[in-house]
Amino acid sequence: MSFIEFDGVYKRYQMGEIVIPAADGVTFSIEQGEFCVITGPSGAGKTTILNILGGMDDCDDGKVRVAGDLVSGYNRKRLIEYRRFEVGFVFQFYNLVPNLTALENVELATQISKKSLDAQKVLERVGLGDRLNNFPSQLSGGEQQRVSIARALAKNPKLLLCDEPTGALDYTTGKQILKLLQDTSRETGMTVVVVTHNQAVTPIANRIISLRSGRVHRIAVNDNPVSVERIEW
Amino acid sequence: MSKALFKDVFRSIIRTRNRFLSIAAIVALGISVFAGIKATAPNLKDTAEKYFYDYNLSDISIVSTIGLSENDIYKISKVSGVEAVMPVKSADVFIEVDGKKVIDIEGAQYVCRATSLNMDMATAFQNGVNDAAYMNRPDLLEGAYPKQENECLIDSSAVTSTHKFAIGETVTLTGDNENLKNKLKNTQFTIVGIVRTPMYISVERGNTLIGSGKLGNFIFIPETNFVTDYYTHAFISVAGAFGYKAFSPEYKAYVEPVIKDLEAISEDRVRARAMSLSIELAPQVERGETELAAKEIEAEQKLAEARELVKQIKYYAENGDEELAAKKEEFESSLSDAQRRLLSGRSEYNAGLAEYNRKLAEYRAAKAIADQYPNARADYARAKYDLEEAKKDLDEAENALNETRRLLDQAGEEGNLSNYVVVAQAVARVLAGRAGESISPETLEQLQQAINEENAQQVYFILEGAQRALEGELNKAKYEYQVKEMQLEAAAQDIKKLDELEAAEKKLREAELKLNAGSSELSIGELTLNMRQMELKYELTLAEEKLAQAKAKAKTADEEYAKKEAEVRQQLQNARHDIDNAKKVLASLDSAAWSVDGRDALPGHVEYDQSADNMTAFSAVFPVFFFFIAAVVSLTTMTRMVEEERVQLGTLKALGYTSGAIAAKYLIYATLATLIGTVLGLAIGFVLFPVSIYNAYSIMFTTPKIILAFRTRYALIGLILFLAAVSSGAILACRSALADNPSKLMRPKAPKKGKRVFLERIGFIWKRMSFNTKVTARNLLRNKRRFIMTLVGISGCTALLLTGLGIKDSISSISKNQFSGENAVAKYDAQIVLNDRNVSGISPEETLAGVKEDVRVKDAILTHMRTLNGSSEREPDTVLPVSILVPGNTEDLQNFIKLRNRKTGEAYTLNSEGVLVSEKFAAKTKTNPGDEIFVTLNDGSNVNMKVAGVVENYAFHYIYMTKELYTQTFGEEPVFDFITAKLSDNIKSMDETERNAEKTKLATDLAKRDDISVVVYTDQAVNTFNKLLKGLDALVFIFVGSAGALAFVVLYNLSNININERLRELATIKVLGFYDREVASYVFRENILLTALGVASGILIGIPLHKFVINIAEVNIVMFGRSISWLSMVIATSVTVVFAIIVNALMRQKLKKISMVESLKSVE
Ligand SMILES: Nc1ncnc2c1ncn2[C@@H]1O[C@H](COP(=O)(O)OP(=O)(O)O)[C@@H](O)[C@H]1O
Ligand SMILES: [Mg+2]
Repeated sequence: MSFIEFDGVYKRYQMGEIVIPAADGVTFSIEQGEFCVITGPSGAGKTTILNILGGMDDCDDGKVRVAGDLVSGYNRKRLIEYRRFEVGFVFQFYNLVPNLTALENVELATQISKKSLDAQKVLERVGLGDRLNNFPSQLSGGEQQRVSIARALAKNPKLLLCDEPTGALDYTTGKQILKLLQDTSRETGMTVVVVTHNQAVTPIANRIISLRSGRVHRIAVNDNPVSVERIEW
Repeated sequence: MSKALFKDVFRSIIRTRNRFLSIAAIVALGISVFAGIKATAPNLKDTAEKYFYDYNLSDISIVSTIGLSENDIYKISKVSGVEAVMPVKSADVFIEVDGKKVIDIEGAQYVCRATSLNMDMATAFQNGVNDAAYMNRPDLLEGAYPKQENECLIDSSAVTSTHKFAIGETVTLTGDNENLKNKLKNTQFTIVGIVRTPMYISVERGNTLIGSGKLGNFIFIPETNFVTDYYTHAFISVAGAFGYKAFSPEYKAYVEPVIKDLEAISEDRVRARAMSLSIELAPQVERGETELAAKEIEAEQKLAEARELVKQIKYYAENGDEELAAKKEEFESSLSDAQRRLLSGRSEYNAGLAEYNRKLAEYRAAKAIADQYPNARADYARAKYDLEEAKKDLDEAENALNETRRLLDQAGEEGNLSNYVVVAQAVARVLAGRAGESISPETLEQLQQAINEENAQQVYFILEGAQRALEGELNKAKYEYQVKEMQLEAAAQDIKKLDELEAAEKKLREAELKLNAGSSELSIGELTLNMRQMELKYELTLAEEKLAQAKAKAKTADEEYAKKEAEVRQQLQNARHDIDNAKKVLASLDSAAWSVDGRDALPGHVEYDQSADNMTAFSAVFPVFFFFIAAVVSLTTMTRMVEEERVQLGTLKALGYTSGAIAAKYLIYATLATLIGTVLGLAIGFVLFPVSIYNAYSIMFTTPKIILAFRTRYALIGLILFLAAVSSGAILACRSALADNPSKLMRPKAPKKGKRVFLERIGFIWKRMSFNTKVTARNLLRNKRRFIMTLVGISGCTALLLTGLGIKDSISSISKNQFSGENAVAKYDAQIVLNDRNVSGISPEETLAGVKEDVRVKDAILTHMRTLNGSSEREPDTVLPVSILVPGNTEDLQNFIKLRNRKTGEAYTLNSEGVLVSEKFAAKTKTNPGDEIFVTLNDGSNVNMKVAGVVENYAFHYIYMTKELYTQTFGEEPVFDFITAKLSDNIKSMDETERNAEKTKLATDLAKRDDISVVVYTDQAVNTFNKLLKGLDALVFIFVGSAGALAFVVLYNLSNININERLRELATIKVLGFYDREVASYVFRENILLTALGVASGILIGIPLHKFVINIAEVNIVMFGRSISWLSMVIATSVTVVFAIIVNALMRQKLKKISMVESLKSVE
């Protein structure tokens, strides 16, 4: 049994008369420790799937299993705990609390989790050891995204979910962030799922899931993923 | 406006309906409080004014101490400006229902004013005639007008009565020590209608000269009931006075000259009436005195007789018991004596009877034996005879023998035969006597022969033989005799027995007789005894009955006597009173005067005006503050809205819309919300506030239903102010937003810059703070606008709440500070009003001594008090009525009145250096120690005096001065017309009902004295204040309610903005896995802190705000308390906190519903 299993997952949005199926019977699985990339054109349902996987949204139908547990069957409280202890989330627009320093933003996450890592160390690991006391507004986009990743990692989750982590970044910075994610997966064996519309990054993944119109278009397994430095777009 | 824009506005409203509604709600609240409270005072005055007009309230009233004659009325009507005069007759009386005196809540006899009602005028009024001369018209609330002379209309308000008067009831009027028949034809009236009149606009009915001095209610009775030929009141309407607003200074100024003119004619009128009264009354008094004296003597005699009778009855009733007991004892003992005697007689008799029976039995036995010898007596006689015969024989024989023997012996000795023969012959004679028995005749013949033969031998022989035979014979006879003797003896024995028997029989017979006699005696005794018993018993019952009767009589005798005496004395007193009244009237003729008063003298009139003015004062501050908060909050809301929609703004701008067109959307939005709020607020405010405030006041006032009016002025002012506030918020926000170029607008607004807050610089505090606290602190301090808005909202609401509650504290403390509190200014309990010494003939000093003697009075002091208009050199335009108080004894005054400066705490003693003035007077006239003040005398001249000190005082204005200073200042000695008294500790320690009863009794007792008019207790003033407070409670409730509602809306709105602004942040922490409660506390820590800060600063703002309102609201004659109670602070705080909690609970739900997916979808 795989670490993550999607089994016929549906998510529909009612827009007046018409029903938009954002996820239309999505079935796939991801193994533990894999670095997985979900791609597809805009509106394909990537974010929807990631949100469902991250416990931020529920599905209308189908089953979602993580480490054998049926996430799609969780109640409200269990779902919060799932997000709290098992999932780390990285957003396209970082979603840092502007009033808090880099360190405090990370602490916001660590203070609620028992098995969390030391906030300062995690920030040092993402290369922000000297920017601990800067506010988000004092950091560049890449640095903000690093803080965001640090915040997700500091919880020491089983699963790291990233929605377009490089979407708002320039090429080099984007690459650095991808590298950080790949390294994390390699070094800690953490399962990382990255959503991106950028087809060019697929070679760095163990598993590539392509979506189209809410359906799984193709699943490719790559036994020899390349290092981030080696790809270009 | 394009259709699209309109649609956009409409959609915005739907989408942000919470925001739209909260702006409308805030506006509604603000406007309703503003316009509602503003409208209340004019509504109150309009209501009264219409009432005055409809029921033709008189402008001036004249009361004369000696009544008004027809001529007086005529002269009054001729005074210029007088439109009409209504003369009225009235009598102040006690009132009874079902034979029981009606008692007021203080335990005193309820006093009713029976007022004449001109039935012709009343009928005409019913038929729609509006006669100016028909004034102070009864407003019929229930029932009908009187048709019979003995029917009446009664006062609808009788708050102080313990009895509730109803239609159909019959009331009986009784005089206070006066012969009511001298005034009224009927004294019994059936209530046919319930009325009110503009004369009595409040529940106060004013004062009276009878009973406790407090008028309870009034009744209207047909005028024909009055037999008096004079009027007690004249009511006057001034031509054109209704053209002026009631209560207004213009009105007063208009009426004042007429009052002055009436006062001007009063002297002549009073003199004329005094003259005619003295002509009428003087002879009456003289005649009355002689008649009364005779009547008194007669009455005393009759009473003395009656008393004697009662005494006898009572004596018997008291002592009859003893007498009866003695009699009873005698009866019992006499009976028992007789019974005892009878009893022992009976036993004696029984013993006798038994003895008798025994003897009878014996006798019977003896008799039975005796009966066996019926011949015993004969036998005995015979035996005795026999024995005697035998004795004779025996004696003969013995003689014979002895003769024989002697002869023989003689013969033998002499040997002489011859002798023999003689002997023999003698013997033979003897023998012959005994011939045939022991000596046979042959022997005798032989002897004869022998003798004849002289045969001595033979003779001897024979004789010897004869001797022997004789001896034998003798022995035999002896024996026989002995037998016979024995027989006799036996017979004698028998006879003796017989004799005894006979004796016994006799005795028995006697005993029987005696017994019989005893028995009958006993029977008689018994009979007598029974009869005596019956007799005695009868006597006893009679005596008992008599006693019971006497006792029963003794019980009622006193009562009967008392009743009788009361009756007689009442009659005498009536006569006495008539004379005294006449005398008093005569005595008072010199000092007689009219009191000519405007409407202000009507009970409750001024208070009504003041209550309305108090509202004006409230409306000056309360709604304005309210308005300010509401405006600020709605402004914030609008600003926020514009900021939220900046992207859309940018898009529109990019599409070529002008700034004006874009701003129009927000203006329309704001205007719509304001309009809806205004309509709602006015609809609620113009009704809710006047009605509920009026209802609160209706405890004190008896006026018709409030007249509500749409006050366009206030409506417009409110609308414009809010429109300005809300739309300027929208415009300001739009302007700053539209200043940016479209592309910048369309891009997400750069997130706010994180900044260090000052707290972080204080390392030792920052380090000690928990992570959450740091977040809270930073959020709070970073977002200053929200911080300040919330603070303003919450603190404003708390301040309003505190002010509302504080006003109540302040007003309620007046009576506490002045009269009833621990540390009150007035330490006395009663003011005793003295009668004119010229009338009573008793000096005030004597009266004081008399009052002090009463054990119920702890201490008392003479006081002079007169009220004049006072002012100061510094503030001559401020003229206040001030009471000059002069103590009879300077040192004692401080025992009755606290003479102390409130601020410095300095205690004063009165001296001749200067006067002490009360605080409010000093403040109003800007007077300090050392300054001069002056009072204006009736003749218009001013009298100056130097101020030595300012003393604490809360109600009315006072000038305290010594007797000496008064004399020096006014050039005359003060007339002591009051006694100020303290009640005994004993009375004070009683429980309330007991104390009230005791006080009423004291008042009644004192008022009975000729030298005392009436006793007024200070707690009557306290009661009035407290009643007013009850109304205030409701008022405060309204204010607290609206302030609370504002607090709620403000908190809700601000929390809502807070959450909306931070949706993204909140969604993020939800994604991070914060539990619901953690999310809530993340937000609410700030709210709680802001609430706490807001409450604290609200209290800090509330205290001066309260002072400010108090200063405005304070009426001249009272000084409100300056402090707010702790309880009010606690209530203000908790109301705000409770609202904060409720708002938090609502917000918690909202937080729970925040969607992470939606909130994080894109950057704003
Ligand atoms: N809240 C929503 N209401 C209606 N449609 C939605 C909503 N969220 C997503 N969709 C639709 O679902 C589809 C998938 O969206 P998304 O998962 O965001 O796509 P991607 O991330 O791959 O660009 C899109 O067609 C989008 O329009
Ligand atoms: Mg997406």
